[in-house]
Amino acid sequence: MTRMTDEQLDQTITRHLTWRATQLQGIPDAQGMAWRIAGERLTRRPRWQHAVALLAVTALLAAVAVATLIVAGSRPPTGPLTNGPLVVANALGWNGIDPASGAAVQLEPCDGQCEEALDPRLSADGRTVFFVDPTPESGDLLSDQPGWAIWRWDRLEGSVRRVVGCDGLDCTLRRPIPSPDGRYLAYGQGDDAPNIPMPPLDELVIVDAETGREVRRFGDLIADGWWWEYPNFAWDADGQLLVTSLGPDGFRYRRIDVTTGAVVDVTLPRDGSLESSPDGATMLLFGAQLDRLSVWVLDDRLESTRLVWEGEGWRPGTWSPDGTRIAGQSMSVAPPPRNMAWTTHVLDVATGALTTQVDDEAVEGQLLWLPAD
Amino acid sequence: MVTDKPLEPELARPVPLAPAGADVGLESFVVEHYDRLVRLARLVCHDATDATDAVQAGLERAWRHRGSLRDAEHRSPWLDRIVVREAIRVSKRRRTWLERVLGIDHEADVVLTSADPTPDVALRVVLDGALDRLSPEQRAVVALHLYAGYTVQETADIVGAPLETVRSRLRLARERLRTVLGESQP
Repeated sequence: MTRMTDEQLDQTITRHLTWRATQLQGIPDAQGMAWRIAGERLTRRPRWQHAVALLAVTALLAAVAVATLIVAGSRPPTGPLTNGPLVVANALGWNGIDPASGAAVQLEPCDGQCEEALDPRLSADGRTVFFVDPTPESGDLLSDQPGWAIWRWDRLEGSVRRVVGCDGLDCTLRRPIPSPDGRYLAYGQGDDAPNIPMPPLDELVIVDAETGREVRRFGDLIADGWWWEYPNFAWDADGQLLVTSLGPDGFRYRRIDVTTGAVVDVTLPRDGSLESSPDGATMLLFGAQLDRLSVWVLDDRLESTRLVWEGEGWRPGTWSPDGTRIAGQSMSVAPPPRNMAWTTHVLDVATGALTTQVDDEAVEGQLLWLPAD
Repeated sequence: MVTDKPLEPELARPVPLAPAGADVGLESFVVEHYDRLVRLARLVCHDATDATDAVQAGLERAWRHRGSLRDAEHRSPWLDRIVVREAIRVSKRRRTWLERVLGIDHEADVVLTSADPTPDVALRVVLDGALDRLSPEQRAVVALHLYAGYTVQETADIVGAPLETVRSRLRLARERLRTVLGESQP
């Protein structure tokens, strides 16, 4: 049996796709589609009906919130965090295993109010998880709701609410990271659709974590094309935001004072992308070259580093709630019918010990390490 | 959908095909892009009903937000992005619903018969089955890169995924297809 080259394989697939794309039985023609869309638009519910419904729902939610606050007010404050289940967040919810009991953990933080809960980040006190819903429109395609949104899930109350969103199909939101004191939320905003196929230009936005009110917005701090691959901003223990950018002149680091808006250049002893523990106490630098990854711990004054691990590449995903470990995943080819295998890596930041686990049941998603209840 | 209300003026007026950037009527807007979009959606969804739903939802959203497109030259990739993402979402929702409620997997509408006029029906059956077993995200990157001709970077922009993720999906899809082709060719 002769192995096909990649080029031959691609040609075979392209020929098949070209033929397959012409098999349009059961699909209406363009005129029919135009009439379907026109019919949907004409039967859209008037805006005033949406407003009345919204008012009724808001009043109901307010009553429930007041009642919930009264009940929650008697609860003790959150104590030191211990590590609980490590879950994978994707369109099906948050699923994982509780290490203490071995029981399956299945969470659906949207609770019917949002569509998907992706890119989750835990607050330093372990009470709140911020996440991105990229599909708020899908429930009602004909309404004029805004685009992507960031939500917050209160673990104690089990409630979820929208914090901030952005309008239009062009907008995407990423990496909602709360500050160590919980006052602010930093996230990235992309506005790339009109510029396709040009690279996107991303903005860094800082808002009030409670109200969503915008505090700062920076459009020129983060370099294009690097956004998705590795973390590029992190809160330090003092509540200032450190930002990494990679431009034509190499790496550049800046520190933002959220209170004043002042931005100052910072020099780090090594090049890499920044990731801090939720309380900002531990700052890591990830240096990636092809498939190899190096992880350094930065000292308190950002003046020196300690190499804790070096090896084949994986992508950091979540910190442990107690701030001692960081977990990530890598993906590899697996025999059919699985096709893909995910390996979860957990790095002990103090010792550099790396443990790996291939989960036969794992699915594609983003990791979130929750505290033990 | 049947309605007894008069058409809105912008929907009813016949407008000839306009150059890129001009504000055209809904019908012309749909006609101008429909063939390309429905074929892309067909490749991602592997299901005629899902593809129809995805294109309808995508075009509806695009029409509503057409004012946000600042550069008319990018209208095609902009529409491709909207419809492909909608196709992924529709496919995932269908599969999720079937898996959760019925406990079975999505069944593709493979329409290959011995009456097919081309000689290599067996190869098409094999490829179709293999493509159907890919995830919607994998099929999307395969369709965008190997059918629509987008580069890997452009494909990443359209599906809204990291570049490395798109490369991985392409690699995994190729491995999958190579495996089934190898199995089918002694």
